[in-house]
Amino acid sequence: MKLIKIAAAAAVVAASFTAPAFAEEKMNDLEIAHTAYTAGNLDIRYAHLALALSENDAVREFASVMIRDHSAVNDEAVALIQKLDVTPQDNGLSQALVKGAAEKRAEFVKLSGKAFDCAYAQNELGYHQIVNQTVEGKFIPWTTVEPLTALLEDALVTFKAHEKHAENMVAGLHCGS
Amino acid sequence: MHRFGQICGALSGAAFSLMLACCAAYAGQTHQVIIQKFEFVPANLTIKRGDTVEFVNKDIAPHTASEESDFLWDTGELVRNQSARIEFTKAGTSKYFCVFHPHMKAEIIVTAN
Ligand SMILES: [Cu+2]
Repeated sequence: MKLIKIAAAAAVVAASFTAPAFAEEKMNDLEIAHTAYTAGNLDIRYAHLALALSENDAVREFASVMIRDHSAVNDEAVALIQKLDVTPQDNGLSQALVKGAAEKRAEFVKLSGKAFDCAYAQNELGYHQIVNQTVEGKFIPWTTVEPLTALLEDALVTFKAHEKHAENMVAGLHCGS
Repeated sequence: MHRFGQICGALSGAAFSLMLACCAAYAGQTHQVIIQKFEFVPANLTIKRGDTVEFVNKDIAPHTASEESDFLWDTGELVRNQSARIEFTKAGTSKYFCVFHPHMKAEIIVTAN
């Protein structure tokens, strides 16, 4: 029952990015590790789509940065998981993120040119905003394993830089007009 | 002329003896710039001609330190805990940035000694 509730809330947010946060029920360290890793991987997948479909230099540069940085963060996460000898736990929020991203990608592949660039850029901004709110307001306070908290804090600095970068990219594309 | 590490060995002839004269007169110091939380620290560094700056990346995300006007010097990609040394052999102000995260900017002022 709890998982369904989280998943439903997350799906709504993933689709609209309007709600303030998406993780309502407290998650444990292994669930948080799973979701943080999943969120990074999904952003890498979006970036590969952008490199395949966009011809805009700013968009392509941003996508390359996403692949480079999220890969670095997720490599650290894998190293930590191996060191602690634990297995991250799949959970309702991870599943909702995966489902939401699959729907987005299905929408995006139908687009091209400026329509694609704007859809990708705005999604990146919304995605980083919601992920950052969740990491900062929920995941970091909820984690109990010190090295995981430290990794999330480091990752948050990176994701916040991405959020700023995404803001600049959206502004530069003049999508509103 | 900016290169990783020692550049004296790469030079020959007259240029080499000039360089020897310079190096003998002033054995350059090494300074550090730490890249942490998407900032170069210190953001403003004043050094003497012949000094070397070691750039150390402490972030998870890879960064670069790259001269802004025309990539006159460039550390290349630095992953976490990786460092690169650049020797500054000309006086002047070097503005630099990170090519991956262009809002990261800083400068090094090289004074004639
Ligand atoms: Cu950088």
